[in-house]
Amino acid sequence: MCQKKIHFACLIFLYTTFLYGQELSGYVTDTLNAPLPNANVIAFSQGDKGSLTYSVSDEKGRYRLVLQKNTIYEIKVSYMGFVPQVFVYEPEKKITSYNFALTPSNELLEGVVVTYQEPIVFKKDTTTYRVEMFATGKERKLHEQLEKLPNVEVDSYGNVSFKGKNVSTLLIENKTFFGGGTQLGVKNIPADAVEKIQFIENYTKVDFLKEVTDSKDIALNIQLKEDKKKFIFGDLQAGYGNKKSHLLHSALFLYSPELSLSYLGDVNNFGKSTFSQEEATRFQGGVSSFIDKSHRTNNLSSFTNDNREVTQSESLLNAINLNLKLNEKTDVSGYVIFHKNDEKVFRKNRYHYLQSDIFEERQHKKQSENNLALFNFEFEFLPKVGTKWIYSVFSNISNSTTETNILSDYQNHNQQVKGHQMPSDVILKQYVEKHQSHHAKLKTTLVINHSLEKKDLKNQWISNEPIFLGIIPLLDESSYDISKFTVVENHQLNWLYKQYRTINNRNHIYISVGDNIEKSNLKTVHYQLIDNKKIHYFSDGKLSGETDYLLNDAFMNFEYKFRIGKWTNRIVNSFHFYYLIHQQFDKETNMNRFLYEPSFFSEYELSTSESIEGSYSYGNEFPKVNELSEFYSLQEFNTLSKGNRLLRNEKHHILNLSYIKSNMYRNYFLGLMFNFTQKSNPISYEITSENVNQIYSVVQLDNPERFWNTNIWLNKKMQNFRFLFSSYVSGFYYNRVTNAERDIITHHKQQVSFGLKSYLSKKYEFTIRYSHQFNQMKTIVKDNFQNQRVFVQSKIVPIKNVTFESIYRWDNLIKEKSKNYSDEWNVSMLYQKEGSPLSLELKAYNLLNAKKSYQKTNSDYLISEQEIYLMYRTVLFSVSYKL
Amino acid sequence: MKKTIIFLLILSVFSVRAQKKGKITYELAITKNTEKKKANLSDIFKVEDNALLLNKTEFEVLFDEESAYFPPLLFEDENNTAISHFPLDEEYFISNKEKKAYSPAEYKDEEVLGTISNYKWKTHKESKTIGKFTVYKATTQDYEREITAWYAPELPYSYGPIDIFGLPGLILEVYIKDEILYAYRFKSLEFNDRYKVKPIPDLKKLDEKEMDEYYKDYYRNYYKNLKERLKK
Repeated sequence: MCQKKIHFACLIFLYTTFLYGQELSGYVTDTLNAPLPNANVIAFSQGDKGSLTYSVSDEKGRYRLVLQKNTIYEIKVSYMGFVPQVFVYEPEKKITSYNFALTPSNELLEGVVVTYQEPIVFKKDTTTYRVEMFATGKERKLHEQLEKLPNVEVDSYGNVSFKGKNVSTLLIENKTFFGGGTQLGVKNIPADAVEKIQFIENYTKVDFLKEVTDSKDIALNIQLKEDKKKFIFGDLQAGYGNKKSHLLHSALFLYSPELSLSYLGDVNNFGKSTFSQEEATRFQGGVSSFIDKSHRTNNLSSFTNDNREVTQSESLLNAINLNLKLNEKTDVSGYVIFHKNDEKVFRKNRYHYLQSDIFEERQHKKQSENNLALFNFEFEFLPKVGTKWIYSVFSNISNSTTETNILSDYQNHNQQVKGHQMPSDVILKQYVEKHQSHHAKLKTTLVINHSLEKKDLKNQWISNEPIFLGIIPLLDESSYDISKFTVVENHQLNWLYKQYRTINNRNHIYISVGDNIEKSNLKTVHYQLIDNKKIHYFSDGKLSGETDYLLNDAFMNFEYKFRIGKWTNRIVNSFHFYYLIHQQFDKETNMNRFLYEPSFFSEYELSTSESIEGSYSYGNEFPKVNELSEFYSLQEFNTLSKGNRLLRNEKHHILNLSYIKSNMYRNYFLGLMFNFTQKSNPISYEITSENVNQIYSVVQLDNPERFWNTNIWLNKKMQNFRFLFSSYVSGFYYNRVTNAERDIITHHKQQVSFGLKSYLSKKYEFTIRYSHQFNQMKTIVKDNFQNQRVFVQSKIVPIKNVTFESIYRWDNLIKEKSKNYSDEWNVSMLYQKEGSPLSLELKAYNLLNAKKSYQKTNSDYLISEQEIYLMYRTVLFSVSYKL
Repeated sequence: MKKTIIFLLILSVFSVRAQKKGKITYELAITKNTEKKKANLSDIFKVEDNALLLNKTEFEVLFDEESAYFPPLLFEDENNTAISHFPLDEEYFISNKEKKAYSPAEYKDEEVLGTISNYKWKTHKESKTIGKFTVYKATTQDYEREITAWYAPELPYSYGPIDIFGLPGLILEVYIKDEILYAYRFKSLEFNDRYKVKPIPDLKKLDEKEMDEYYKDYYRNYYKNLKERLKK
């Protein structure tokens, strides 16, 4: 099957090279013969009206155009501050090269009076694309337009990357949109509202700190069409289909200079994802970017499972984003999100316990109800030029109820476990930042950050067989009803004061002092319910108890940044005084450490489009409260975990190297990356396993843990094709103690993917991707497996007003003896009369009605294979109305 | 014989001086002007507040016997409206012989050099020391700007910071009274043959009259565009 596809692709390729035969190249220079890089060279076809090809001159001023045969072109060159030039290309003259020498213009103010619009404008850190030059006009949402821009990639979750680097902030009209995450925006912003798309490199919220913060962030800014401003625009969609599947979706936007409001609403019951895991972590606001200690929590994961891998799902999303100018000096931005989702999951798992060599077959049914409410408000106050205050408050309240039903079968044992989980989580985080520029040589930042989190988790297991017989002193019953109740309270207070001192243009010194305090309390209680009413607390002291925890990290950093020509270096000397105290079983343990943590960063800019970067850092990670708490905690019916009070700090070394090159003349983009991490005394765990039961005890090993990976990606445009290649290779080496035996474990992974994208005409576009992953693990046994994926997406306009789209995905899991493949095919047909706000769509999800997909993971003690049951075929008819 | 010795002496002095390349570093110092003024465009763009952010900015002027070169500074913060006021982002060349300064500009679709003729300096007897140099006072008026310069005759170069020049000695310090009070202060002076002094480019030079026209045209355009922008 694959072979045929390749033949097909080759055919199209040949066909187009035949059509686009003529090449024209040359130089763009000024009158003194100095090259003008990044000049737009646009060829307007005189035959096929409106069709155009463009090229952007490189560092040497070179440009190259591939033109259609037998067509007259008007070729225009424009460059800021120069008079545009026009050259009429006549095919019969058989010219293959032409040089443009531009004369400086009298036009004194930038960007005024441009006779025609340039497709790409480069200005310092900002690249601006004029969307209509790249898009076909058939796009419905922003992500479809982004995919067509050179140097831009969008993944299926809606994460955007520019020149291979992830975009971290989404702005609409220079204002943050839902805290800056890209996913909600790219999937909801209507394409016809977008005028220009801008990528801002080295993005920072505080203008006057730009030269000292060395920000690597990239922001994506959407500029709206003039006529979309001041009016409400957006989409409303309603749909109904088989098995009572329904959909209501709305995305409404209002933008004016003083106020902007956006509303996203979605109700559906067939697993159409509203936002994913990555997007959810974006909403972990309320932490200043200057406090780099991780404040991450994972409670949102349950709201965001990618949702076609469920058998039933109902979700409701209401989200509002607001930007408001209170007065000349104050801006407010914020968002509120409510999300509710009910789902059912059915999986069949097969586990291989390597130590005991036992196979377990497990059926897993899960039904859950999740609720989430979160908000974030940020106030920016500029009392005068060179001073900026930011106050941000974030809160997140969530709870969920999960019912699980597990049937476990191993060695003629049948264990049936009913589970009930009720986690609830309350988070409140806030920070104040004050940034000030005193003069050209002194800038300061002050940050105070506070966060509070309270997590309650109630877990209940009802089993027909005893659970952890030797450890949990169960009372004999016909069925065993065991509960665990955990409460975690966590407070963090951080402050930081930083001075940026500029010695001269080439030498900077930054000094900072600060403190991070983390205080936690963890309570765990296990008990058995007898006759459904009487609570029996276990007498064993190790099953219930309380741990108090306090970690203080007082630090001082000396940072020296210097530049030698194109070479920038940064040396950070960081001195930390750590103090850790924890109390459990009425015993106190404390630890003091004075540690020196250096890091080094170096960047060499070969040219504006080519750079090499390297960095090294050494650091210490202190154990968390749950790793120190020696009380047992029942994680699953067959899993028990336990911390270790004797843990010390983990030391880690991290090395990163990267090379990035983009070439506008040859139209390619190349990236290479290498990463190495070593933990000298890793906090790991020891496993005691008996049958299918395992006890994890946290231990600290003396043998180092090592991890490395390399990444290569190449993106090349040839005529109307975009060729993508990427490769990933990684190795992971560590020690694990299982049943008192120490093993060395190695994991290797290699992945290679190819892709071809084409926008052949306004009527036909397609994407083909193939990726192949190899996994090898070596421990007491060897285990290898491979994953293959084929992805084909195509969009056709067969007749006027009708768009046909098909997305096909084929996955294959290759194990030692067997192959398991699964596929999913989504098809849609859209009818929209030109100029009409109304459109009709018939869309089928999982057209082939595939029942399940396959997954495999392997670790040092367990190999698990999963069959995931999928959502049934859904055929939905919907009506959309464009405002 | 005497003549030959003198000749040789002069020659040797010249040859030594011809090889000498220098780098003088200045620092920008800005003080708030407390005198009440009429509200003007600078207030709208908060030029004075922005200017205060540029306080203590260091810049260099490279020079040899022939000419001096001020390389423009690059600023990361594009929103600072005061940069062009000083004017730290423009390129300047000063010719020692001609006692004229040049700055590249575009005029009628052509790259040209705009000329700044020497200021009408009034020298004073007052002196003081800056570092190890004795400096003398000179004053002049340039449109709205009241300029006070301190020059060192022992350094026989007619150069100075950015666009201030033309005295019989290197200008080490300049005080300027404008809408904003500011000064270019002396930081250091070094000589090294490896310094690269960009020579004055061989372009058509526009005289003052033509430059005046150029500026009139420039501002006419500028305000027209500004009005259009503000309308939006």
